[in-house]
Amino acid sequence: MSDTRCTLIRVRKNINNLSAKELTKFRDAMAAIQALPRSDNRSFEWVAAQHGCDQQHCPHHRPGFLTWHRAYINALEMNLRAVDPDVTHPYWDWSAADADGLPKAYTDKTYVNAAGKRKPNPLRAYTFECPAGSPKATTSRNPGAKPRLAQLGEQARRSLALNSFQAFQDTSVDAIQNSHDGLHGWVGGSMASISFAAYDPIFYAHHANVDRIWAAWQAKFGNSTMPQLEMQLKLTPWPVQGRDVLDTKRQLCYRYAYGVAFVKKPRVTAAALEALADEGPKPLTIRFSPAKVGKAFDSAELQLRNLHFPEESYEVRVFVNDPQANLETSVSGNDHYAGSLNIFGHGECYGAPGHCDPVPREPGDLREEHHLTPVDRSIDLTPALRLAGPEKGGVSVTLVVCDTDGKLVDHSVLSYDDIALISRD
Amino acid sequence: MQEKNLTLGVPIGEALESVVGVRLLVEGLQRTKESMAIRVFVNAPEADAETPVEGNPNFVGTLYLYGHGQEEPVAEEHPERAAAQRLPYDQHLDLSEQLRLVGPGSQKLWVTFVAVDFQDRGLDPELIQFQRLSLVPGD
Repeated sequence: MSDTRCTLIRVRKNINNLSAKELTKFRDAMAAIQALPRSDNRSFEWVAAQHGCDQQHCPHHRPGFLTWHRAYINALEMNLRAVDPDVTHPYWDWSAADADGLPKAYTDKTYVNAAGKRKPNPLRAYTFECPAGSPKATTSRNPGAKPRLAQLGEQARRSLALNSFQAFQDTSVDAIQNSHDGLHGWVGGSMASISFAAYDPIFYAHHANVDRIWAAWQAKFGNSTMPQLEMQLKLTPWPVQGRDVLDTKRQLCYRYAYGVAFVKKPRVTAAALEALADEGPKPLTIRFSPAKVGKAFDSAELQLRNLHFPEESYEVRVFVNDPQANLETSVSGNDHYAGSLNIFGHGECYGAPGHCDPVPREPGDLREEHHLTPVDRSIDLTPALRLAGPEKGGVSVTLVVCDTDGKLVDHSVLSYDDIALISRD
Repeated sequence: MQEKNLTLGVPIGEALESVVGVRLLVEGLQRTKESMAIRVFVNAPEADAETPVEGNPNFVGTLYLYGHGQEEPVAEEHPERAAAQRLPYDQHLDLSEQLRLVGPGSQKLWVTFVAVDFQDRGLDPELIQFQRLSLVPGD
């Protein structure tokens, strides 16, 4: 399967952040596919039967856990979208630091559908027959103790630090599959057994979250440590292999919700230059409003976009929610310190005039990119944001720039287009 | 009286000399019909379902078992796929921190496994089945 040309990137959102209209549309679509008979492969029950009872396709603690379930959620999502093309499958962020039990969207007894009629909530339970001919059964849940959910979330977040695919997927105690297993047990009831878990509608929101964490891990570590066996594995009954589901945006046309806030680089005005002469170099503090960066900070990164290589090398110390930070501010043991960006200066230019001036490439230019083409540089703010916490007025980021002698230099020595705070919730 | 845990001694050997840390490798972990959790402690042979895990330096981590839910004997439409859901697997836990607590000259590390359900109730330790336990270098 070659890469798909996506005309639209669908966004999977946190179930708790859906608007009332989005939630109604999602529930209506779910009710519609639940009403289809199992013999119809567009039905909820046909999809559910592929996991455990009775088709038993799902791999657990075997190659294909992440890839197979990505294809699986895609199949259910496509069935929902066949009913309503506005619907994407939301995720349940049970791994968030503030996760507080089952989402209300999945526990409400009833809801009012788009036609204004009160109906049973199709996300609460589902009645099925498996194996064929056995009495009908309705899914149940028996959630565990809340502190255990917090532990599972912490364990899931630790998986993002594992740097090999196999450790991340499976073999480490911090592997995403281990906390995934725990979440199945924590929800309890039908979710606690491979055979019947997929008949509970919450299964898919749980797995969308596992998929989201994998996508975040891929953004950090890529796919280079993924064994060939994983790439080539057939994800039956779907007619694809592992390699066909690696890129959610390019191959499958979806991504997970995130907030982005941009701040243009402050212009160097005559007044600023005068102040620089009078007052000396200063750090730069930028404030991002909470409305722009999303409600939660499950993960966040700061990007300096289109950063030009300076002639000298610099260290940029990044502090979160500490607008008073300066050269004297301690970095060791300081919860507000997110880390440093080290920017390698290109030094003296040895070519003829213009050699070090990057020029935009024309389409069809096969030559190597200019060696000083501006780049995007990012730094992970997640740990500092977790420890320092967001402020009431949003998030402030302070950049303290120093030279190789450790002396403070003015932030205006850096040339870039804008600063972006990208938060994923 | 039912035992409250499963405690085994693992030879330390040259593990203390590893410069890349040490992992406890649990090989051939058997799956169970019901989901459950296995809390792992070192040098805490008295550990049980009541033993705190938060802030406890002897606590290593929790292995979760996702129950296969199949009845015995397996009566499934696809028995070979159902059997694959029951295959044992390996897990490892980082013990680098805990090994620092082991005194010099110790020959064995005592590893204690406590089986609990998701309401924090202790379960029969006989549910914990695996083939081998060893210390291996970290990665």
